[in-house]
Order: sequence, then C-alpha cells, then structure tokens
Amino acid sequence: MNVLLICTEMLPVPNIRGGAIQTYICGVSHLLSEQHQITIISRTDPDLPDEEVVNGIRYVRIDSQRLLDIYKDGIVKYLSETEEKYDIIHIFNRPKLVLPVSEVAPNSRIILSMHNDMFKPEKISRAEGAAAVEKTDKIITISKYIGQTIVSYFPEAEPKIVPIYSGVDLSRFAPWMKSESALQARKAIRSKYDLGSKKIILFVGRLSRNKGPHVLVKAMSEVKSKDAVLVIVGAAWFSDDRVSDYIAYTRALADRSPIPVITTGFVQADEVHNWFCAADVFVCTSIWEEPLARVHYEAMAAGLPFITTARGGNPEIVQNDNGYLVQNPEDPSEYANYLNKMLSNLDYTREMGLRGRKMVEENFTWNHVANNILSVWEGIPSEN
Amino acid sequence: MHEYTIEPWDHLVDSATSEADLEQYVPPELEKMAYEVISHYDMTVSEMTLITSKPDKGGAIWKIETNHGPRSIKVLHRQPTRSLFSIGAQVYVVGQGARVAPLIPTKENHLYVQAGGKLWIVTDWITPLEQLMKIDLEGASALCYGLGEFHRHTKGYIPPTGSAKSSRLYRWNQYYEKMIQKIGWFRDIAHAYPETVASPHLLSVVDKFEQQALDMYEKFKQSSYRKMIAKGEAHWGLAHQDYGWSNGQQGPGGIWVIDLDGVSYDLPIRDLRKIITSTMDDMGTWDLEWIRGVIDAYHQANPLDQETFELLWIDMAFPNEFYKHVKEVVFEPVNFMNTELDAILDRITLTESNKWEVLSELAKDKEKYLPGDYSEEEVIYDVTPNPVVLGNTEFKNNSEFKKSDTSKMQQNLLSTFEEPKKSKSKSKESKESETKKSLQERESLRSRIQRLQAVNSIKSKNSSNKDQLVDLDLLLKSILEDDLPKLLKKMNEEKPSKTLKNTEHPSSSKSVKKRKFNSNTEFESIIAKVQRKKLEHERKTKKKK
Repeated sequence: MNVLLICTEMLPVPNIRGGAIQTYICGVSHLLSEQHQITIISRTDPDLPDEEVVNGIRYVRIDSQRLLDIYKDGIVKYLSETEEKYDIIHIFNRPKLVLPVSEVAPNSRIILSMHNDMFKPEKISRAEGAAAVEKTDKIITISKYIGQTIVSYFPEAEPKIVPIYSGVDLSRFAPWMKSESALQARKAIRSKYDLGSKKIILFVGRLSRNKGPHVLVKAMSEVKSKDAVLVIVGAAWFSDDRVSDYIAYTRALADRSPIPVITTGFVQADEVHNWFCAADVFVCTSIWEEPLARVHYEAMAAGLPFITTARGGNPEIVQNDNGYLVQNPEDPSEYANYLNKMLSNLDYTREMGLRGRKMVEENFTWNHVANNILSVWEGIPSEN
Repeated sequence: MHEYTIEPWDHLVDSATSEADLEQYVPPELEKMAYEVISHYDMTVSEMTLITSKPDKGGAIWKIETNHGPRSIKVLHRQPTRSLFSIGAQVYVVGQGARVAPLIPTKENHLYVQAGGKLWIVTDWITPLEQLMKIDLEGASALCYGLGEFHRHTKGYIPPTGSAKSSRLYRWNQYYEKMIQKIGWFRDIAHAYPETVASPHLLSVVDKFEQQALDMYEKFKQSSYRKMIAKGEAHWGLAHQDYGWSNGQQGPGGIWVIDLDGVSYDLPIRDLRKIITSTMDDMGTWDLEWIRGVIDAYHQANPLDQETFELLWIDMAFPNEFYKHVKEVVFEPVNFMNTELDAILDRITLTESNKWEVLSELAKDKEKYLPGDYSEEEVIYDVTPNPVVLGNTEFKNNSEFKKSDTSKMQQNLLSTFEEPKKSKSKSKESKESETKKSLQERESLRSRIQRLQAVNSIKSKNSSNKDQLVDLDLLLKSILEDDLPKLLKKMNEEKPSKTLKNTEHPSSSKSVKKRKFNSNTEFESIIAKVQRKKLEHERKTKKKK
C-alpha cells in the first residue's frame, strides 16, 4: 500500500530535535517501509532538506512556524497538488487535521494515532471532534488510558480504539548484568561523574511541576541508604537550558538534600541510554495524568526496576513484579518507603528489573509496535 | 552574507556590569541591523540613540531623528509569530481610535520588517509625553481612565493569520493554582535553609498568606468567571499586561499607551488590579479613597459590571504582592533570605495591616455597578469578524528581509491602514473622521444597551441574573470571621473611634442563591460550547464566501 504518515507541527522527523512522537515514528517507519511505500510529512528544519528519500522512505517537510494552522494549510496544499494516491493517511496526535485532510483526500483511509489528550474539550470542539472520529477508520492509542479519555468525550469512538503500546530499541538499551557494552557504558559514566559504586536513583524527563521530580528530591531526606545518589537527567524544554523558577526551586531543595542530587542538564537523545545503564532504580514521578511515559520502556529495557505513579496510563505498565506504584505522587514518604525497600535488597531489586526486561523483549520492541500497526493498516482484527 | 541571528546577549556582558548599564548596550551587529532595517523606510536618519534594551531576551528600542521628525525603531524580542499578534493589536487599536502610535509602513508598505529572526517596527515618537505623578490620586485616575479607554479599543480584536494567539483569558484558574503551589515552595525553601536570616520570618507568615490564597480561590471558583469567559476572547479584548506609569503617559489629547509587545486576551481588569495592588505596596498602606478613585476613573472610560467588579475585588484580595516579591527566593535562596527578604516581609506585613478593612468597605461598592448580561455566550458579530490584515505575513526561516508581491501588499494595506505617502494627509483625515464616526455610533449603541440593561435589571430585581451573582457580603462576612477580628481588636485599641466605624459589618447580607461552577466538567462543557459556536460561525462565514 501507499501510506502517508503525518507528524505534528512541532518537531521534524527524523527526531534530530527529540520528541516522543518523532522517536516513535523513527522506531517503526523503517520496519513499516519493508512492507509498504512510506511517505512522512513533518515540519521543516534548518538542518534538513524540505524533501528527501532516505532508505526508501520519502520525507516531505512543510513549514509550520510551530502553528497548526500554517502546517495544515501546507499539508492541504501538498495533498491537493500531489499525484500520489494514498491508500492510508496515518495522522499522529492531531485530530484537528482529520477533517481538512479527509476533505482533500476523500478516498484515503484515515488512521489516527493518539499520544495524549488532544480530544479534550479545550483542544477540540465537540462538533469537530465528533466529525473527526466519524471520518477516522481506527484510532490507535499509546495506552488504554488515552483510549478511555477519548471514549469519555466521544463514546461513539469506542469500537475504533486500538491501544498499541510503544516500544524501545533493544540494541541500545540493555541490562548491564547481561551486556558487555552496557556494562562499559555503566562504568564510563559512573567514572565520568565520580559515582564509584553508589546506588543510583534515576529520574529522566522534563523538569516541570507536572512531571514532579521535586517530590523525589524531597523524598531524599527520608532515604536511609548512605551511599545513594539521585541523578536528574533532563531540561525544562528540549534543548533549552534556561533556568525556570521550578528548576530553581528543585535545585534549591537539592542543594540541601542529605543524599547527593546531580542534575545533568539536557542530554542528547542518543546518549540517554548511558544513564539507564548506569542506574540501579528508575523513578517516574508524574503528577499529571500522564498518557504513559516512554521512559518506562527504556528503563525496563535497561533492566531497571522502577517506581511510577498511579496517574494516567502509568499503572498499565506495572506488571509481574517489575516495579512499584506510588498512589499519591505528592507524598515524598511513599517514594522513600519504596526506595528504602529496593536499595536495601539490591539483589531482589535487580531481579525485578530483569523481569521488566523480559516483558519488554516479549511485548514492547519496535517490531511489536510495527506489527501491531500493520495489523491495523491491513484491517486484521487485533488480538485484544 | 550570513545574516546575524538575534539572540540574548547578556552572556556577552561582564557580570559586574550594573543592570542599568546592561540595558545601555547592544551588540554592534544588532545596531548594524537596525540601520539595515531603517533603509527599508522612506526616511533619512540623522541621529540614533539607544533608549533601552533587553539583553536577556534580545530586544531593543532606539529613538531616531528623521526628516519626518523623531521616531522610534524597535526590535521585538518575542518569537515572530507572537510579535505578529501584538503588531496586529497595535494596528487594530489605532484603527479604533486609541491613542497609540501608528506603525509606519516601509517603502514596500509593510508594517514591520523581519530581520535576524525577529520583527522590527517603526513608529512616530509621540511628543510631548509626560509621566503622571505617581500615587497622587489625580494622576492615577488619569492613568486608569486611559487604561479603560485602551481596553475599550481592544474589544473585537481578531489577530492576523499566521500569528500566534496569546491568551490568558481561560487561565485564571491555572494562575491562582500556580500561586498557591508556589507559596508552598516558599515554605519548603524556608525549611531547607533554616539558618538564613529571614527563614523564621517567612515561616511565620507563609501559612497566613497560603490560607488567604486558598480562601480566595474558593471564592473565585464561586464567582461569575466561567460565565464571563464564555463570552469569548474578542468580547473582552486585550490586557496590556505591563501597564503603569511608564507605559501610560500623558500626551496630546490624553493618555498614550506604549509598549504593546506583551498584550494578550484576558479579562482586562487584570491590568487595573496590578496597578492598584502594586501602588498599595508602594504606599505601605491600603488607601480606600485612592482605590475608589481609580476604579471610578476606569469605569468612566470602560464601564464595569457587577460581576467584573467582584472579580477585580477577588483578584485584589489574593496575596499578590507577597507572592510577587517573595517568588524570587527560589533562585538564590541563601543570598535572598540573608539580605532582602526580611525587610520585604516587614513591609508586606505593614501594608497588610489594613488590607481587609479596606477591602470590606470597598465590597459595598458592588451596588454601584449594574449586573452584566451573561445570558448569551460568545458574541457573534453581525459582520464577519475580520482578522487584522497586515499584508503578506509569510515568514521564512532565516530569511532576509521580505521580498514579495508589493502590489498585492498594497491592496491589503489600503484596506486596513493609511494610504501611501503621496496622498497621506488627505486620506488620513478622512480615515480619522471615519473612525470617529464609527466610534460615535458605537458609543450611542453602547449607551442604548446600558439603558436597556438598567431597565431590565430594575424590572427583574430578583430574577435569574441576580440569583447567579455571588453574594459579596456573604464572602466578606466569612473573611471577617476568620483572622480579621484579632487584628481589628488590636487596631481599635490604638485608634478606637475611627476604626470601629470603618469595620462595621456590611449590613445587607440578603440571602442570595449562589450558583456554583465547581466541577471541571461544567467548565469544560462551557469551553466546548464556545468552541462549537466558533466552529459553526467559521463554517457559516466560509459558506458565505
């Protein structure tokens, strides 16, 4: 089939500027292109040509100024001028693109992938949302939670919802106990940051109140293990390292923490895995209703046991004793209790991590994701 | 030539440089670029003086002496799409008759130039402009009258295509929630740095201010806010967001408003509230007469309804100044708490001492204002809401100055802006009289509507409109019963007679039904309704075309 993928107006594909959706598309596009002819539309970028073909995938980049309206006009123009006939147009996370696209490409089947809550009333009107659902053949959601939120606004969407969990690159994320290269990475970054054999508690993500790392910093006052260290990997906004008041607040608390807290600032997407190899426990501290953070897959792939919060889709990933679920993400003590439990019995903790790794190998590789997407494209009813 | 990209230059300046000196420096590349931008205008410049700059953001303004008289050239520090929203607003309010300097078109009839990744504008330098006397009630009233005029002129603004809309209208909840969270941060920091001078002081007051914020937030949730915002962004128009004695100045014909960079859709009384509470902070005491005076002056220019007055009151009652002055503590906690914070807290506590007394008196003024009509949601204009047209708004990344089809541009410009130079004086006149006429028409329409509203409100004193109001008196009573009595008692001991008189409980605590909009779903359904209407409207207008 001839398939067009439409990314959001925010960042380009490939994911040279990061971005969860962009990473996702990069993870599956080469696998999908083995079966079908793939074109990917994303936004323009000074470091990328406006059009190119790489490894059989055609990339079209349309100016957006990060504004959906401008991007939408560009897409409509492209579709009305192109000679291509797309069997499927697969739109990522922008239900507002469904109507304009279907109008100009009425014979294409429209698939929508939803990565967060873009169907909520502040984001799309009831009328437009309903029309978009109507025009869409299937709606892939990255967690059951996201599917449920859509159904809560648009009950008629229910039969169209197909949850497909995201995936991870097993060649980059590996448990250091099992992989020589991961062990090397672990040693290298530990020596670079002078961490020796400390027990590393890892947070990876944007530093924002919604993501909640300040609660983890507060929890450090209750952590009993003297040789623990908290490493915060992330930045306020992609490659922007300016200090927001939230970051300043978290930093001010960290400066007085009895357990050392290291912040790394922004780390390039292709270097983040080193920190997963180096760590002992991973913590996701979402306070908001998180769709289901990618970092869980990465932690599990690196054989890391984790603590996550009972918010959004996060609980869906806690299975088979691979991690713990914090019920109140604003309560430092809950984190501290689990951390004390995990750090005082590292052998058991590592077994938890390996159970997570096994889960990833069996369910959450890019191959799994691509196969599930292919089933949707090819109209095969999913196993669920 | 590889074009210079404007980026913040604060890192280029020696850290020992004082703030004042910092604002007196721009990189030579930027100045060179200013001259290039100037070359796009039909003017010769004999002198250029840097007025001020924003080194941390990459913005600057110069005064230039030209053959057409003094002008200003300004590079807007925000993203081009965001700046376009403000430029559109400037064009719009000038068209509505506001005392705001019109943008001067380039030789190619653009209203701005894009260079170095930012937008540049040129305007006349309005002379003479004078800062009003600060704090003095007469000056303040003039300032606030000017603010009201400005707000009135922003109503109905639809931003140009390609601009990034800036709106805080729907975000008051988030603003207050954030304030409450951050007051919690202050406590955390004070606990984490117990050895600093101001830590115990901060801990001794933080609970009180947090409670105030929580109480006011509850009142806010019961206010008419949600009904009000359902009217939509264009209905309310824009808040300046940085209005004060330097951005509103006395000039020919009245108050001139400058520096529109930061305008955004909002309930415009946010601007009025900021002036009031920051002035009380400057005065060190709450001054009822002053507050009444400026609100009255504002009301003359942009009439307030009861609901808006009530929200202004709530916004004033939040611990705004505590929050504003203490929030810096997160950046350099040790230094800040050892040096400035103690005195700041002393001053805030002192100012606070009669805040609630004054607010409780002020609340009685609610009766002075007519209830607003919020029965219909978003205002749907009879005429298609035309976005401001700025000519070709297409941007190119890293682009040089814009080159585009000028004839098309001229057409666009002619419709919204003054004519090209040749016929300038004449056409300007006719344009102005046109504006005046439509202004008069609007005024008479407005007064007619007000008369109708007044009649209606008399007719239906106990009707639904009234029922949906939150009873301010009840709100106040609850405040009075909380922490005020102790305070009052103390003050009464000092000057018994006067204070007693002022603190009498509001007499009329009629039982009035309250309408609550507590749930998010209800809020969301209102937003959804608004958006649905918008969409329907857009569809209709498309069909018409």
